[in-house]
Amino acid sequence: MLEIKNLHVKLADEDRVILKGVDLVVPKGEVHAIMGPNGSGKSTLSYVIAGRDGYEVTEGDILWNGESVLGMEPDERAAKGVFLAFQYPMEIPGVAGLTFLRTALNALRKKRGEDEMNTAAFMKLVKEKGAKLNIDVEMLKRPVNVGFSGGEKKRSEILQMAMLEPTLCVLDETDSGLDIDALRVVSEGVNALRSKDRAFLVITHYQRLLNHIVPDKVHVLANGRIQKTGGKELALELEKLGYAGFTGKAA
Amino acid sequence: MAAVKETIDQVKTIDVDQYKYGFETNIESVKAPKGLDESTVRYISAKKGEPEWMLNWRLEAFARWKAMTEPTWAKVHYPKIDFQDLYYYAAPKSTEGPKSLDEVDPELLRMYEKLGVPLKEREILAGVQSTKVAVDAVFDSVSVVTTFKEELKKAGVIFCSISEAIREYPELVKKYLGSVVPQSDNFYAALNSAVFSDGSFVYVPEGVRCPMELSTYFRINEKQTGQFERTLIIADRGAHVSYLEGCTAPTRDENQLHAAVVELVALDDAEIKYSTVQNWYPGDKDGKGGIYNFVTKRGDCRGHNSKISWTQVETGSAITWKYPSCILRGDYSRGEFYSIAVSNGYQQVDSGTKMIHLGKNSSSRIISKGIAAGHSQNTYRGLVSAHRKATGVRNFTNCDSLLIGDKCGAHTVPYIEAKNSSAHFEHEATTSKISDDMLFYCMQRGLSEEEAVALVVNGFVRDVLQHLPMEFMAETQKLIGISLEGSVG
Amino acid sequence: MTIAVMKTKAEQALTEAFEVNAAKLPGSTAVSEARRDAIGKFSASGLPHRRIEEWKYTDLRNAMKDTLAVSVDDAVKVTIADVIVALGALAHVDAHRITFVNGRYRADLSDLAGAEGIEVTPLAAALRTAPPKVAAGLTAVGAAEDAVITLNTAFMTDGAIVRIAPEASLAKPVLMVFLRAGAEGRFTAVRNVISAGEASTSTLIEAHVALPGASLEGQMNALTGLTAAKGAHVTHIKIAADFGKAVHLSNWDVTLEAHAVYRGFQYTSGQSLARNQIAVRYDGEGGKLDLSGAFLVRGTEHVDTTLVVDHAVPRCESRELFKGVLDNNGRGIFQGKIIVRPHAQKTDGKQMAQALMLSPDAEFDSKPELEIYADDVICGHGSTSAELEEDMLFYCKSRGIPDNEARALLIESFIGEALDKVEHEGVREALSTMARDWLSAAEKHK
Repeated sequence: MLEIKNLHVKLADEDRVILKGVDLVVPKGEVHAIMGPNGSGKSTLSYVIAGRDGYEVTEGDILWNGESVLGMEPDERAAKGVFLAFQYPMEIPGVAGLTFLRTALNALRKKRGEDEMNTAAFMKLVKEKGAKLNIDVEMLKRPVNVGFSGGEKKRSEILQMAMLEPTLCVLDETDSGLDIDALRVVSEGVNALRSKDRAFLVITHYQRLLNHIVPDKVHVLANGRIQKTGGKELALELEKLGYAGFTGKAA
Repeated sequence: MAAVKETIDQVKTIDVDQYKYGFETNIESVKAPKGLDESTVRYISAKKGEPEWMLNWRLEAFARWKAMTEPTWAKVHYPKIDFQDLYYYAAPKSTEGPKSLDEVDPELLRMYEKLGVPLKEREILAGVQSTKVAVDAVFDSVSVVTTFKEELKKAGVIFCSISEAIREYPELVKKYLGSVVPQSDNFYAALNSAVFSDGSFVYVPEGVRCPMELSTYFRINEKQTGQFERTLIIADRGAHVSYLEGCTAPTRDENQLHAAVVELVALDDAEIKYSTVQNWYPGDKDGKGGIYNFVTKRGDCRGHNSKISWTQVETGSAITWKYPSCILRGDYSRGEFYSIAVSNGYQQVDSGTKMIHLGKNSSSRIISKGIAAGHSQNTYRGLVSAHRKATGVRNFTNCDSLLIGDKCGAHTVPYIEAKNSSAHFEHEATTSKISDDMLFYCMQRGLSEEEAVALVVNGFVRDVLQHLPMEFMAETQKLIGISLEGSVG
Repeated sequence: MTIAVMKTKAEQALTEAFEVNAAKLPGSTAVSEARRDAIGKFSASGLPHRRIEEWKYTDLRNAMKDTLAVSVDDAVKVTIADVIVALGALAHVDAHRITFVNGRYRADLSDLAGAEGIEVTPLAAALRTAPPKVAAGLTAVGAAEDAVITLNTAFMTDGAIVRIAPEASLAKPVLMVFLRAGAEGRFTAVRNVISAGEASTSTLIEAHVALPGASLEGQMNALTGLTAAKGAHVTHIKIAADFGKAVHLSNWDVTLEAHAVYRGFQYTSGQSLARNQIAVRYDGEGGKLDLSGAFLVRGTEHVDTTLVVDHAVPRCESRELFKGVLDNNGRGIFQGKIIVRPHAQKTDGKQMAQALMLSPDAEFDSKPELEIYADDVICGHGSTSAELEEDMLFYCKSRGIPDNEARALLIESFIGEALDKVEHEGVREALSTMARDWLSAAEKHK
């Protein structure tokens, strides 16, 4: 279970406060969506969960399976099952996708006390999981995300998720830059990973992604706080009425 | 792939500041008296049993050297070298007799084994090693053994120490020695010409494709000893040869001098591929000790359609001053320079290449990847020039630098001279650091910070790694990881 | 140990010319002392030669064997109509104008009426009357050890001191015209000192032109010191278009305070020998530099652009784009150095130099340099030299465009990329016209 308690976050280099007391609980087996206007702190929340530098938690805590993750390095969090699908996946010149995946997979297995996966088993797994996401192994011989289209990058993110088998999946604006076919492929990939042992936090600006990945709950994040929580119908309501009702204070 | 993993493991198992090849071998040696004057030159020549023409050549070089001054244009700083406070010749006592593998001092064999250099022909023949590599092992000032000589001879290839070549193949040596790097080319080349003690000699006759990789392994062992090796490789018409050079030295507090000269000659349609993995002792974490590496390497694409390709991985030495170059004399000749230079601690690297286009439609390609960490300074210095009459010349240059930490420096000093209009030159250079976002991305996927750095760096140098012989790629990836040990966090 | 270097004729003549003319050069005692000091330095160093790394490709000692009579107080008859003829396409630019003929301010040829927010003073007057402290500032512009600058300090006769008031926004550009005239060739040294006040916006143009019929010879040594105060936006353009055996030695010394935005551009044609040195230093964070230029070279002309961008503080941006067209035996040189000092983190510097070679005997030497001591930076440079692409020519011709027109079109589009950096429409158009005229004159030179 993911528990976010009264989370206050400011930028490390500036005095700008971004999150001003976020409370959120996502039990395993559920998919929660976070929606909100631009600049509401959605991406910040995903980065703070994953442990990116540049943010300072001034108050509150983030617990995963009852354990605070705030003191952990990003790779330790990853070993605990935290996975962030980036809005803008990084390009890593010269490092083949396969190398990257295998290095990550074995680093995690090692940290979890498991044996490294041998090449044959690894290749079999990549081929199998890649096929479902329309990812050819040839594409993974290219450097990570370099020269990939927006859709290819997002599919490769989901493939990494499928390979690394995390238990907490945070998807940051995964729908951005996707056409409708790519959106369907990506959503199917995500849905295939839904299970009772896994929690999902889906961050999005638009409701359309939630037609494909149907959430158990929808939270509205605005002005640094969760303003409203409801069922999947809340997303439709937001689509119709916009975020105006939640950003009133700022306007 | 596995190599990346190995890099990471290697990085973990090694303490900061530990140089894997830093051990010293206890071998009784014969040395020339300390210091340098004409008698030193005569001593070396006599030790080698050289003919008079060779002694005269050396003496001429020595006379020229005396009139020269040390170059100061490179971006390196070091205390003045006292050339009288060095030994110019040191040889293991046991190698003074005739040499075959069985007669080599077992202590020496153990040392090379420890260094991972394959000197045992039998094992290789038995298939223990996958690829066949002939090795010339140079220990301090002399070649101790050359493997696979007989087999190479069957193919017509001469592979031996330069001392042996001077005795056995004087006509070839006379014809080519100093024809690419003249005695008075520069201060260090002149010094080398006067006192060089050994090195390798290769001659690949017309039309022959050398049946195996050739390699020389240089080891400095003695204290206060300069190493001055001389390598001469000739690929006759249509010949092909691939050559690899490796270097290590024990960990010592003092700075040691290494001033080598390498000359390559490629005749019509010939091709020489020369790869170097230079891992001389770089000094300790405070910048104490380490090799001063002042090397002149030049290839002459003398023939039509000839090709010379330099690949270098420079991880060692306190100071590197090295510009493997190509004189593209033949029409349609090609020159290549692929370089990875990693500097950490207080290392100073000033390295690059010269592509001198004299032949029509000659082309060259330069890919240089510099990685600076710690307090090191890493400079790429290069020249690309097209002579007035060399029409249709092409060059592409790419030099990228990566900085790790805010105490180091990375510099790019290219000279690009197009002296006729048909020269088509493209040069690009970038300097950047490993972005925090990239590291975070890797760490989010489970890699530790050092693993992430090693991964990104190996990606950064990939374009160059591809040009190394297969069996050295993995070794190099490991080496880079080790060299950058302690550079993050 | 001292090595006695033989002085060349030009070096000897310049030192002697100073002695002869010292009394006539404008300035107070403090200024005379500074001049004397400078000529002393010059005598010691002489003209720079190829063994000095920065002058590797332009051996001034060898190229400037002779010197012309030093311009001190030339009285040449020049009318407004003459100035307009000399300015050519530039005459159409609507600007405040200050004119110097052979290095002397000419009030009758200047028009600063209605200029608000700026103060323009002729340098000669200031050198005579300024209190010692101000005079020291005027004589100490630029790198004191540079031989060309020491000559400038020794011989400067006049120039413009331009002060732009804080927050002023100039409606029209300020055009500084440096006219070469008269049947006798002259060695002329001018100096401009420009300060752009905080948050001001201005466009300054220096035009170095010659009157048709003027002597074929002329040596210009021009130095401009410019400081852009906090948040100032400055556009600075230099046009050096001459003919004959003209020698043009130019220095820009620019300092940018925090958040200043500086757009510099240099156009060079018709110079038998030109050396354009530019030094830009950042003095405060957040400064932005966009430096560009076009050089057109033919005959045996030699045009050298040497610049140093010094990122001394964090968070500054620099962009450079220089393009040259080289014909006949013309020689182009580009040396560009980007320095990033320790602690100048978040520097973003990019540089590009490109040459288009129109003749087999043209030469282009390029030395783009990066010297970087801070890690969190993005820096890069590029340099290319090539002929017109045959594929492109063929493409144009296959669409019915004749060969010479296709070539002209491609050359124009090549140089156009640099000219497009000039935001002032009038100036940009004038430059395009000048470049086109230069190209159409190409045939005559064959």
